[in-house]
Amino acid sequence: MSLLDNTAPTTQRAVLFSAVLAAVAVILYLFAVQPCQDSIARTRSDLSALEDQKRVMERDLKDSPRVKSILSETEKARAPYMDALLTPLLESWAMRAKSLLDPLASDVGLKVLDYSEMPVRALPLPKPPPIQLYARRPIRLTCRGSYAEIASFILRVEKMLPYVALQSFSIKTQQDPEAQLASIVFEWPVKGALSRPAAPAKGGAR
Amino acid sequence: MKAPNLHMNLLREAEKVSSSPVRVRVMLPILALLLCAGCAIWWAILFMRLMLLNGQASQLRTELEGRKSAHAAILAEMGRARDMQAELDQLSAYSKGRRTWGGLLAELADVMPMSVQLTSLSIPEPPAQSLANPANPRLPPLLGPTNTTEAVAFRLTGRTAQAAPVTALLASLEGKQFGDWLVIDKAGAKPSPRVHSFRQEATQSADGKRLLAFDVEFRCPERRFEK
Repeated sequence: MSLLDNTAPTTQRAVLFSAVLAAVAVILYLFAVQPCQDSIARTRSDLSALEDQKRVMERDLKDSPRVKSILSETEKARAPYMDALLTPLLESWAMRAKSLLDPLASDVGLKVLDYSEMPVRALPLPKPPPIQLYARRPIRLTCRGSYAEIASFILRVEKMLPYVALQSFSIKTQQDPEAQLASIVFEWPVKGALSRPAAPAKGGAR
Repeated sequence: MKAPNLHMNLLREAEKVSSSPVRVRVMLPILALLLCAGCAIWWAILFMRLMLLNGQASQLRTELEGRKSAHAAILAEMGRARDMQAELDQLSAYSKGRRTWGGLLAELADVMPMSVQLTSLSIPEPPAQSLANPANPRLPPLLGPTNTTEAVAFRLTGRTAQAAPVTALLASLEGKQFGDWLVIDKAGAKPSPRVHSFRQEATQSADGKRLLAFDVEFRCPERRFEK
């Protein structure tokens, strides 16, 4: 105020009035303009995110027929495997294999003495891994018959069960050429472990 | 005659202490007022713009909310398609790793010399898989092997009275008709066929000749579990 001591009272009043107005302007800038600018920046960024989301949504919705057709094609391609999967019969994999292989063995006159389950073998993981993994379930057959019968049986299994693979076999010659002892291991695709917990069904219990 | 100097002060009291009293008195408040009004107008413009943007955002939100369920459904379908494709990839890999052997057994019967007696014929079992987690054995086992191939071999052992029929048998097995099943690589690091043994046995044949026992292994094309 000492600066204004030598000024006219009207000037002093004018300076004071101007100072008050300047203070109001500063307050307006700090408490109205700047927050408003911040809000605009935030809203713009929200809007841009929403627009991105809308673009993605529109693209996905536009893709819907293509996804549906892919899904149906994949399902169609997977169906034969699903039919070929070995499932346990009376909680026994060997029992199911017996039910499938016995008719083929009897067709060629081969006598199957025993079916036994072997440890399951994992398949290489695709990337990304599916939730439901598949594995190989080997079943060992011990059978007796001639070489021709054994070969016919294997040929028949390979023809009739196109998803069953012969993993290993061994034929040991016996005195009687009509009764060779063979051990054959066939493997089936089976459902394996889950790679991660499955997503809960929509609308299901929480 | 000189007139006496008259000293008359015509300045007003307020003007005595200001060189330009009009400017300061009037201009400063006008400028301050303009500054204040400018800030207010600036804020008003910004506020209107904010309102407009908020309106756009809320409209967009409503629009997205309306499409949310349809989008969630398509996303679920996409996820299902991806998952199913991955399942199909694994099953296809299994299918690609399938080899058929019936043809080999049938062909083998045709080329087997009469004077050779096979004592065993085998495709040995593959080694057991080690799915233990190398990082920590206490962790859950790995879900799949890291290698996608599995070596396969075909081994036959037998007896004969002379070496010639075995040589003939091996020559036949090296023929084109066995090309799908047997690998012929005599110069490689792991030769195929590999003769494990070819020795004279203590037992004699019916005509009194010493029998020769042989043990030969062929490498087969490996099983490739790839899509």
